[in-house]
Amino acid sequence: MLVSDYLVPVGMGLVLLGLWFTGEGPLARQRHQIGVYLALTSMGLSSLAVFIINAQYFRPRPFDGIDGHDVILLFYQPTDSSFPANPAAVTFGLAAGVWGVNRPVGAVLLVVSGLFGFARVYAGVHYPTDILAGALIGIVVAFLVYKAKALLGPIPVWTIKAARILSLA
Amino acid sequence: MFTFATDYFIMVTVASVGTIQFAAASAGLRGLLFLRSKNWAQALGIVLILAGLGLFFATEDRNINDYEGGLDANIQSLLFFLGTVSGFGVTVVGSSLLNIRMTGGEEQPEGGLDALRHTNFAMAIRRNLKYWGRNWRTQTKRYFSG
Repeated sequence: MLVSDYLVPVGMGLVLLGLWFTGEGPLARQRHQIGVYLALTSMGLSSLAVFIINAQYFRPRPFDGIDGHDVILLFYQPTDSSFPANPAAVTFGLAAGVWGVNRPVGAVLLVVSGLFGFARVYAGVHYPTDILAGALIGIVVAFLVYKAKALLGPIPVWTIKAARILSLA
Repeated sequence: MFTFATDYFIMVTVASVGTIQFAAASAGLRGLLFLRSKNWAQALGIVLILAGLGLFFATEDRNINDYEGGLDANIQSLLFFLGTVSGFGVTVVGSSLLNIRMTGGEEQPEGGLDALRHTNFAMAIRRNLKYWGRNWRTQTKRYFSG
């Protein structure tokens, strides 16, 4: 189940949802909520980076070229490029984004991302280098998003303050 | 009976309600809880998260490519967003009804989620909007300057 396209992404999404509501007091919660923004931005930009690389370079999947009669595949056969692994880029980008505002939760998510990547290799969907490259992209993008946070200016804080009027933040 | 997308949406909705219950109980946002006890609300949250995931993963094979009935990443993201919105909607309606007498003491126009420590969601939003209706000029200036 760990290798599934749905379990880890949904679990990580639910963690972001939980972070939105938690925090000791309004300031800590606002920090979490800004973290949610940045984690989602990192996730989106990581996915975009993988999309661009995939458009330039195609690497066949590990199971390609193996005679289907000899092996039983644990996972369906994706047809897009294997390198770099989009699931790894997305989950590591999100986990690294959370790491910026909450170290314990971020650490758990990084471990889960690692297990997810291992499961994808174990199931024969990716090569280890696909996962490593995806993880690197996710972490670097999250780092850059945090460094570029000032470019967004006060927009995230304004959005959160506006949401507070409706008791949404 | 349902399509893959519907199953996914239901899973996210149920699990979101559970997540919000767990997180709101941890943060002391009593106005969002279905149960008065913090511990029971957290337990309910965990049960709902597991129920949502269980309903999705245990009922059918979910190892399906997107062009064979599964969901591609974009649709999955969209359905996840809609599912969480739906889960939040279920939570605020349900908790406002269950905590209908929880109206808080004093007016707390700037409380955001913190208003929900003492008030149900319907009352909190009513107070906030009423307050903003009266003081929108000064509040807008205070909120969005600097």
